[in-house]
Amino acid sequence: MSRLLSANFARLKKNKLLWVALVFMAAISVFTMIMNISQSKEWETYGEKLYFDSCYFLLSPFIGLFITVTIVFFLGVDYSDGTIRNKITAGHKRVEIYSANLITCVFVSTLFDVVWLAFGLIGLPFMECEQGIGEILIYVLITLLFSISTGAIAALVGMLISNKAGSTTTAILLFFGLLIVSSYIILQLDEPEMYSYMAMTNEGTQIVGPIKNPQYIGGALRVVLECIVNTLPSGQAVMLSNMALQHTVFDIVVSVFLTVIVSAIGIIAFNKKDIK
Amino acid sequence: MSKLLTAGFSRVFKKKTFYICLIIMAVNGVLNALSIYSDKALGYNSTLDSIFFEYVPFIPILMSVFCALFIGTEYSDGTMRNKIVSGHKRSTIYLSNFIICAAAGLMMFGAYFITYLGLGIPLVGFFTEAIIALVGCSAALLLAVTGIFTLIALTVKSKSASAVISIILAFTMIFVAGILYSLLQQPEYYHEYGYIGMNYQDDATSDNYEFGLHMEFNMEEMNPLDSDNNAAEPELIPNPSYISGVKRQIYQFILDFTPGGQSILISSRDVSNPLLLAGYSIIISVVTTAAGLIKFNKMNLN
Repeated sequence: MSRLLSANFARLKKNKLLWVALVFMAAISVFTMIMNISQSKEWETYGEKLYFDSCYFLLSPFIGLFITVTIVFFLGVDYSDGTIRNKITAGHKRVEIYSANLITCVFVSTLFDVVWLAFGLIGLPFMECEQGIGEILIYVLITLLFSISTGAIAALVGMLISNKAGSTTTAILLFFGLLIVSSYIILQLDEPEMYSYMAMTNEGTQIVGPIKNPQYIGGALRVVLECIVNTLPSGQAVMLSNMALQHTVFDIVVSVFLTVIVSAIGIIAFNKKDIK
Repeated sequence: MSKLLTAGFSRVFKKKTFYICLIIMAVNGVLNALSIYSDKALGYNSTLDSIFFEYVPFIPILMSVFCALFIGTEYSDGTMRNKIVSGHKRSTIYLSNFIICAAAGLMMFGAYFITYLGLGIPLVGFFTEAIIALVGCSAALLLAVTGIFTLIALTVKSKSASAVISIILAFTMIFVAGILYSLLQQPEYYHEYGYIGMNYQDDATSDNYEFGLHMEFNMEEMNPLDSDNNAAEPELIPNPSYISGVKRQIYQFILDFTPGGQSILISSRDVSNPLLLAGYSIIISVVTTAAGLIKFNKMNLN
């Protein structure tokens, strides 16, 4: 397996897409933080404050796109060049091939996470932090773990779909699909249970309510949806970008479990795959 | 050209991607119709017009996938080279692909219209407003996105690269437009008493509420009186998030001009000048097709 890993990392070093994506990630991170610094100066004139920690994780939902595209293209070359078949013919076990690729994907995911967060630190001298360093470090750990679970999902798609165009299309649509579904679920869960509204009556302006909100999701369905959205990397990312993560320990544990389960499924399916 | 079109259409009808796109639009139509019916049953004043145009944001996304995979196959299978070798002009090949993709897009419209109207009209009745202008805008939008994604698919020889570029471009256009649109919706001012006195807290210890919504009312602040004991005008507070001036004009132009922006505006039925939007879409379609033709004519297709 060490030979497979060395070959993968040698390929990564020469991978133009990876370097372009990393530079782009860094540029977007810096640009976003500069816009936030400018906005915080504008808010100060109104007596409002924009805190560093509420801006630092804004790009969370989009880091997965960089990871997905880079990984799927990287793995797709293995199929299109026939390298996977050569590796099997050369005696490498399928488990080793998948594991080596998975480790490479974990490395790529970590790299993107580090680049994004490192370049985002340029905002720190210009804005105050609302939360303590402990909480911020926990959020950093969460970003790392959901980036890795995103990488594991991309690896699954890249290793199981041998058609490069098919795997890239599927992976990107899956990424955006999960992002949209997560955002929608979060929006629904944010509906308040009761609401009031102002009505003009003969006695003047009056508050009507509180009355039950028919859009409110409660009971067992709420628990299920909260589990789903806290399990999906996109769900965690969206909630973190809004600083709305409430179950940090659950999020950390479930990201690890998701990575392990997705990888296990990938290895089993890859073992049975017909590689022409 | 007719031979290319015939061959192209027969390929469309054998393409899995085409049927997946049709199914997505059809399911979207069914879900929207049922959603309207359910809103009406809950007492909301919903009509067939309310969410009819929610198919529009799907157009850039589905066309990005379809154009990239449909046209990309011609490169990967070597069909493109065969067409040129057999005597077809490059401009004819380009335009036939554009026409076929646009026609496929119209068929996707059809799948949505049939399911939404087929289920929606019996459940909630007919349209209450004129919709032809906005449907026309969406058709023009289809031509614009077809122009863009045909350009990408025919000039980027790698099927996977063109798929990635097209899909990311489609989603980015819509996300950026969504952000700009929500920024422009911010009011210039807000009334002070609309916000004072409504505290949302997660404190479960108060006796004033049962479900986590703590509400305090200060009636004097809610309904302030002036010196003659008449209800005073509420104080207007400038909204720091309000976009104004040149920035507002630029954002509005981006929304009006780009396919992403138009898809948000049409689906929200927030179009003040449909002819302008359709005009912009036609311009995009013509410019991208012209640029694509020039580039494709010079490309080395080995």
